[in-house]
Amino acid sequence: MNEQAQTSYTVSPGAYRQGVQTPAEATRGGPTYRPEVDIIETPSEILLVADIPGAEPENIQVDFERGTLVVSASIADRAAGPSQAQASHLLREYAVGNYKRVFQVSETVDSTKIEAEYHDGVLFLHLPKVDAAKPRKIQVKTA
Amino acid sequence: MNTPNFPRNVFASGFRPASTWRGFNGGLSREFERMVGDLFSSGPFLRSPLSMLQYPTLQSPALQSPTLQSPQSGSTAPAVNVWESDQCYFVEAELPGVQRENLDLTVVGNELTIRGERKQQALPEKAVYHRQERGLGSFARVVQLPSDVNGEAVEATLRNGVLTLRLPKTESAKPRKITVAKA
Repeated sequence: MNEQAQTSYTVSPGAYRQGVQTPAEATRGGPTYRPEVDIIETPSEILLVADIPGAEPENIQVDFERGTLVVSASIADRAAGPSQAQASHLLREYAVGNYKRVFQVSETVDSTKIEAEYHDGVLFLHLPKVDAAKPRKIQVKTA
Repeated sequence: MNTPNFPRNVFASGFRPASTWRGFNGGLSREFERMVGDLFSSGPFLRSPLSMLQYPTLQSPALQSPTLQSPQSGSTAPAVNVWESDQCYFVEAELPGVQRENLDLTVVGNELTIRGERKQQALPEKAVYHRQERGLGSFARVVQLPSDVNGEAVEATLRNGVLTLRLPKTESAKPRKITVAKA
């Protein structure tokens, strides 16, 4: 996972629009996109919200290893469906491709309790803080 | 090694009202960057289905027939893919985080209008945004198809954030095989 993270990204001339091809993932040609995310912190957790339209939950991968969080999704090429095989495109404003984004997460996250949900094309990743990192009010005792 | 630029970097697109920038500009602490930092700022490109305001003019020759109405200034228009078969037009748009009830689709003649809103999710108290790249708010897009469609028979599905419309052509717009009569 870390090796993939170090892979240099080169722009492929054949890739549609702003897509890039990742040499490490040659299983499926085409662009890989970086999903847009919101990162929200609450007292108890860090919430990562990522737009990953068109994924099936089983094709979304969330890997956490030694402080590196990798969110990736392989997207089936919708435009290659049987009903569209002979269809002609009138307008192509976006290409369908896989998603991948890598984050560095500190030790304040309890990696054993990371949870993920996927609704309406949006991935919600709950990264609970370890107890030691949660804000705590200390009561001053009277002597 | 090439370092690709971000042609559609949302931070530069400026479509988002300043009020939604809570805590980003001023509040991104070093502490937090250490906590959840982005490993590559030069990695794969950002993909932002809902921030298409500055979309470049389409230049493919195949795109000349459906004329596109550019979005009104200040609004966001989703990107669409349009293709056709003999019987139908198909329109697809990526609308992650948009609920069915917040989507409004209308067809008049050959003109399809996709209108909707992406609402902010409910957040617990004391929530702080450290990064906000996903656009919010309402969007609209008008797609003019090359010919009229049968508005009664249009089918729309919204699945995993992808809207797909199947718009049957009117009888007069369908291709017809002409047999040459015997002399």
